[in-house]
Amino acid sequence: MIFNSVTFGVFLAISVLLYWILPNRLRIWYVFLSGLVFYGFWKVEFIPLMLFTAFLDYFVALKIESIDPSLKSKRFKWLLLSFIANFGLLIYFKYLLFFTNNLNDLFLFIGWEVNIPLMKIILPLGISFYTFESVCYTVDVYRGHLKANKDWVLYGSFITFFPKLIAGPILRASEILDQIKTRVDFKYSYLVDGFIRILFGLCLKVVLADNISPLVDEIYTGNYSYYSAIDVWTMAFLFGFQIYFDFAAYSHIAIGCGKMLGINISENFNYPYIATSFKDFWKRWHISLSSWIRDYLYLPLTGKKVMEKSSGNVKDINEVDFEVSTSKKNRALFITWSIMGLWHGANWTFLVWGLYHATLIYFERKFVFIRNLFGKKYPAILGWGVTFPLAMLSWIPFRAQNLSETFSLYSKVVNPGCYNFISLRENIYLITFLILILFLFNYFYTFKIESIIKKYIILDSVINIFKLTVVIILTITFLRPISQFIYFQF
Amino acid sequence: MNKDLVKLLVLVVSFLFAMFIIQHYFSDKTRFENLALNEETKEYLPIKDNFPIHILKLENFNKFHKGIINRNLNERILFLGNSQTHSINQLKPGDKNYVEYAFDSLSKMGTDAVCVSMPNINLQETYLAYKFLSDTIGFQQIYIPVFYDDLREDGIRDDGSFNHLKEIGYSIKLQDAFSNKINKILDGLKQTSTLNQGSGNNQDIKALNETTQEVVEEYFNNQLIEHTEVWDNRAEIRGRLFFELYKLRNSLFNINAQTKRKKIKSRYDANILALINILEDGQRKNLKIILYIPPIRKDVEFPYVKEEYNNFKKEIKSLAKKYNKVYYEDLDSLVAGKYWGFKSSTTFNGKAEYDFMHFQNQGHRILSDTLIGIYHKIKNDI
Repeated sequence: MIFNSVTFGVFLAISVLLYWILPNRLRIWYVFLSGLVFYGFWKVEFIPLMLFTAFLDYFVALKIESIDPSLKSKRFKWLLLSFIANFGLLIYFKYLLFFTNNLNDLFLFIGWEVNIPLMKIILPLGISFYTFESVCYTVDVYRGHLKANKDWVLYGSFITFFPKLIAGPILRASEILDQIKTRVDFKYSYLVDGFIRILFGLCLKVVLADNISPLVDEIYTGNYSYYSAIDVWTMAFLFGFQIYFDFAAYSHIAIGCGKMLGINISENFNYPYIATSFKDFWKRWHISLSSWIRDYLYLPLTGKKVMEKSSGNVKDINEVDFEVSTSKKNRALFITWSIMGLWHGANWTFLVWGLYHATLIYFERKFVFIRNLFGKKYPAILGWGVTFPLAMLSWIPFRAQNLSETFSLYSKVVNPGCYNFISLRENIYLITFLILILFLFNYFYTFKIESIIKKYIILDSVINIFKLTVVIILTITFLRPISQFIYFQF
Repeated sequence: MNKDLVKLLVLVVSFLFAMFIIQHYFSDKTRFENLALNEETKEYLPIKDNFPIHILKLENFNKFHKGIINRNLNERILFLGNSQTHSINQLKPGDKNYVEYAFDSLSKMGTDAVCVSMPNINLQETYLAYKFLSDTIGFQQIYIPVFYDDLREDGIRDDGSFNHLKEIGYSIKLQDAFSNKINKILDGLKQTSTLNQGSGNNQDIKALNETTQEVVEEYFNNQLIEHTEVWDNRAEIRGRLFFELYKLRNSLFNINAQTKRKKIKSRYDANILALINILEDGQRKNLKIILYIPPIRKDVEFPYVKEEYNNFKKEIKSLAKKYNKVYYEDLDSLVAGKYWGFKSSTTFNGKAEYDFMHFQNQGHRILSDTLIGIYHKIKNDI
């Protein structure tokens, strides 16, 4: 089911009502079943796949826990079963076509007349997200950070919990199971705060992201050979804004839905385009994914034991000194980012995207001594001035169709001769610039002015009424499922 | 006062304000497409004996085609065009557009004159329309006005204009790279249902294509349309909002009808390539194609960079020379200033602006007479 639709509005109203009035056990059943209904509105035939993943890991976790902790290899075999099943399915649905295409290209290149037939495979919605959630549950049980859940309905409700089912945030079982298990006392502020959050999320999606989308499509399907470096920067910024509004919108709506049920879902975005370094950027963008990658991939690759029970919020982890060699850290960095890139999509361009970020983080680490020279006096604006445009430029391979397009566009950015003309419609530059101003103004208002205004209740209320009125008008006017959320394709 | 109560009050008050504003400010059902035209410039699509001889986009194509078959005249000529073709400034009873004037004159001589036009049609769209129409209906002459303005447009619009082609599964049968590219774009266009086309609702749920939710969403949408005025009106409200933004942009940057429109090279080249493909196809089919530079208002400073515009005319002329039975005419000065009109202000200052595109009935008459003259001149060319 897509959030930006009337159907979802009706579904949410019914879900919230039933959540608060049903007795506890029935309520947990309802959470579990409502997720299946939510998913089934897309394609019913993929529900068994999701349930298979969920219940395989439910039983694997129980099995792991039943084995004596000293019998590590025996416990590990069960964990491996979870990995093989989950990632095997993910690879099949997401990457088989990609591998087949590449193999066929390789055979053609070396002159073999072999052509592996291409199967028509539909990517199940949300598979990348619920697979990660389910795997992290078994790993947490294996590590002893979490007790295996003995209630399959409760566990099922964690996986199928509809607000985050299709595009995250990627939740940890430890964050959410207890919240579903025991309902908090009702407060109508949950409904109000949650609804307002949902409204803002919908506004970001249907007003901003969906209206930027046709402009992005227009320029990314144009003839690149005509484009200048300024056009490439414009493409990068415009898509950077689109994907941020689109994905942040989904997270806002998910968090708002959780709020209406009295359930706290961690923030997934924290003004990423204000980051002053790439390390900072990844503490602000898709926080649930970056913390998952850190805890379940990066740290294990460095050989460091994950001692902390992270709730998924990056701030909770203590970044102590790594007793790890630099080469090991760097190897872990590049492997992690390669996987992170390919997680986003089955295309070499996503690998380039991942390696782009890895390279920037690598150089940030290498030149950290410059920042250390300044100490606390390091001007944040300098860090932002470097990070922001480079972060935007990283979206080029994310949106380009293939490597050839990617490198063709990047080559213009480094060519001084490509800076003296423009080729897009004048409106595109104007709109990109206006969005940038709006974004910066919003940040400035939220962090510098709002705290002052909040001291005056009447003024604060009047401003909030104005903001909400505009948001409601725009959301009602533009609410229609004309395009899916970008992260649905992951 | 309790903070939570304040929040609730704020939400309720905001909601009431929002509904009030939507209800009262946006309740005027003026079609937003017409906001960009002067309220005196009206759409005009002639009908003869209950059959349209001029259709907008490809709406009503079946009846249009049936009319041609029924009339069964010896010869057929096709006019393609943009809003200049289907609009009359200061429309009065008895006014006609040049298509109807041409039809009235030529039909007596056994020649059928019909037209398909679209607002701001670019040459890629013209190619698609031309291919479909010339493949489906046999024409002997095709009149293509090459609007310099519309060479700033690109691609094939996805607003249902080519819905008929989607419905019949049309594709261009040629195997060249350009036709394949157009076919690919056509494949990618969403097919909207012929139901509720006025409210544009099915375009509104295109992300739900082939999902269970599509049926349910359609049901809820229809219920909301039936029981609330606001829901049905949203497409118009969106149009109005965008028009107000457009006016804001124009006001801030002092943009008006006379502001110079520069050539966008990538789009210009893509459109010229489309034109070349039209001419090559016309040659294969032994068609007579008349390329003309359409009338533009010239008694005031016009909105193009002179050098670019003159180069454009030279290019079209030289293209025409390369092909057999392709005729070039420069008609940009044909219609005198007094036969043009004004259009509604596109800024907040409210001042009406020169309309460089749409002329009055007399302008249509003059253009029709000229085109009929061209028709007779080339009719017997072998």
